[in-house]
Amino acid sequence: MRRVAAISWIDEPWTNIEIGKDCGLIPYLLHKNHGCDVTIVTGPGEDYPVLKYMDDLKLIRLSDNSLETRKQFITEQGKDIDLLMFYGVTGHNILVSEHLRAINPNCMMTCSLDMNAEYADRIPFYKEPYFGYFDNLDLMWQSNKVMTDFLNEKWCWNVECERNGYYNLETGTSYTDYVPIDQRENIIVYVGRIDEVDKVTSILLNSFAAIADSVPDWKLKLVGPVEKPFDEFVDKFMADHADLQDRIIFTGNINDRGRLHKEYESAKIFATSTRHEGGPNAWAEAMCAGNVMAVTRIDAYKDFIGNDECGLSCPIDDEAAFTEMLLKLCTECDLDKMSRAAFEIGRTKYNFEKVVEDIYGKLCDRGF
Amino acid sequence: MGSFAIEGSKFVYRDRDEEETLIDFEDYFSNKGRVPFHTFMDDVTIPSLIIDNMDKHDEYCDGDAVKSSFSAYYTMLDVLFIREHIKSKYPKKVIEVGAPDTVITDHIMNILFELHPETEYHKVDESEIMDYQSGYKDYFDIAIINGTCEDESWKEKLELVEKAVKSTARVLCLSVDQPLLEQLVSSMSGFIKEYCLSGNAKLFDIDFRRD
Repeated sequence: MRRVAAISWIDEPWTNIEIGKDCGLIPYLLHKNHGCDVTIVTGPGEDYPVLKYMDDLKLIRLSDNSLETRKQFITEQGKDIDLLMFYGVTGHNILVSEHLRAINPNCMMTCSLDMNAEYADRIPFYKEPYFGYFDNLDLMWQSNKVMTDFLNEKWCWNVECERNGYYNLETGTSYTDYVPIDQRENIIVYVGRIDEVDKVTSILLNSFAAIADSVPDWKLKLVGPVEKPFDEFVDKFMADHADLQDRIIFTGNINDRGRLHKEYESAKIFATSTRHEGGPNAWAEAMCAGNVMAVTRIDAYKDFIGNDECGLSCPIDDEAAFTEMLLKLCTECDLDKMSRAAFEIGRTKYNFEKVVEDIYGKLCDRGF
Repeated sequence: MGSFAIEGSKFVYRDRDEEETLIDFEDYFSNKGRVPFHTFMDDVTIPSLIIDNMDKHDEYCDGDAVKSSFSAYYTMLDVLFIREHIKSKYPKKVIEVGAPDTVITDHIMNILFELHPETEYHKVDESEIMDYQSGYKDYFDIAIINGTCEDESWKEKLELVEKAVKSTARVLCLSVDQPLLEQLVSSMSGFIKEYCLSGNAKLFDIDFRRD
């Protein structure tokens, strides 16, 4: 049985949310569907309720989150590892990969790059230690087509496109039944961290408030943790919009995967005013649930909505355009047609079991 | 006459009501070269390459007060050259013809040392014109015409450029008081942009297309 380890990427443990998305799901599906002996390597300080869905997945909790302790783990166990999976381009990953190469030159290494264009620009990839890191990888991938194509035009290594897909941990499959639009509520749902720096949630809130009178039967539901210091904005916003108390709902974080999927399925529209994303997991989940997409033009946006078949887009940081887009979707667009298109594209492009099957095939082609 | 300035993340040329962004350091997808627009550390960046050349310009001019005074033109030439080079990750083949001085050569070599050391740079001197006429056809990606001194054979040199570059290529020309050169360049095949920062000099950026 091939032994696989996935090690956390910075001087912190994997978070529970990360284990429930691509960082944990890809190793898990290599175990579940392809028989690999997979170990998640993390540090102290985080609980993993999501593991109740991930049977037989091994977890090694190191004594601390330092680089030295990771290298010690590689020294002790690196010889027995056939594949080490990295996530991102971080100092920790670079140094661990160098150490592993010295301990076990035959061990394969992969990296999910999680790049956006700005981050890719800032990396002087032709210089050490970056050049050595990329050159040592047996397989690297980017989670959206736009960035994959760009990196292949820019870099001298081959980058694969492996999208962040959807996998329902509760039902144990990527397949879902379609819920027709007329069986859903007039809900705009957002799933993810609620903050200002990356997600610019103020735009989503302000835009909904601006259209609320025009769409009196619609609600906005935000699923995810409200991060500090944005909680102060949220408190003031809700105090200033007392008339919307019943129409703007903060659920908090939802760890129950089945309940989370129901939140997507009960909504007609998925909306996000995010500024930064690589290959956003929530977008894939929303597409697979048949949500009509209302999104900002991050690098990957066309990968999801195509030529507006599955929803609409607007420029990043443009509140007026975001407001107009939400109003148009709620009042003018054929949501039934868009929802079916989103579901169909989600089913074909964002099936995580197919994505991992593709990764496994490429690893085998390279000698895994 | 226009003006050339750094505005935020952009190099901008402005002429009366017209404004053109020559390079935008926040348009990350436009940079397929290896040197970043921005960096986390103290690494070399595209802006730092340009600024380094601005700092070294007087040194390149070696006491030539006229050429020193045209520093903005040389910086624009650097910007246009870099903009063309970073359209792909591959090395290019570059030919320079015209005046024998090495000010442009020094600028470009200082850039290429970091941007792409594998790019070929051919500075053709007067004695080599015939050899290049016979030896190079459809070969170069970029041509630079150094029109900073009198020359009686601009026609021959333009003919060499038109023959030696690929059927689609970029031609950059700095002309100082060279009406014949300007006339010849203006009639080249392709899309021609003309930049003028002072009365007696012009910079041409030609998206050359051989008929």
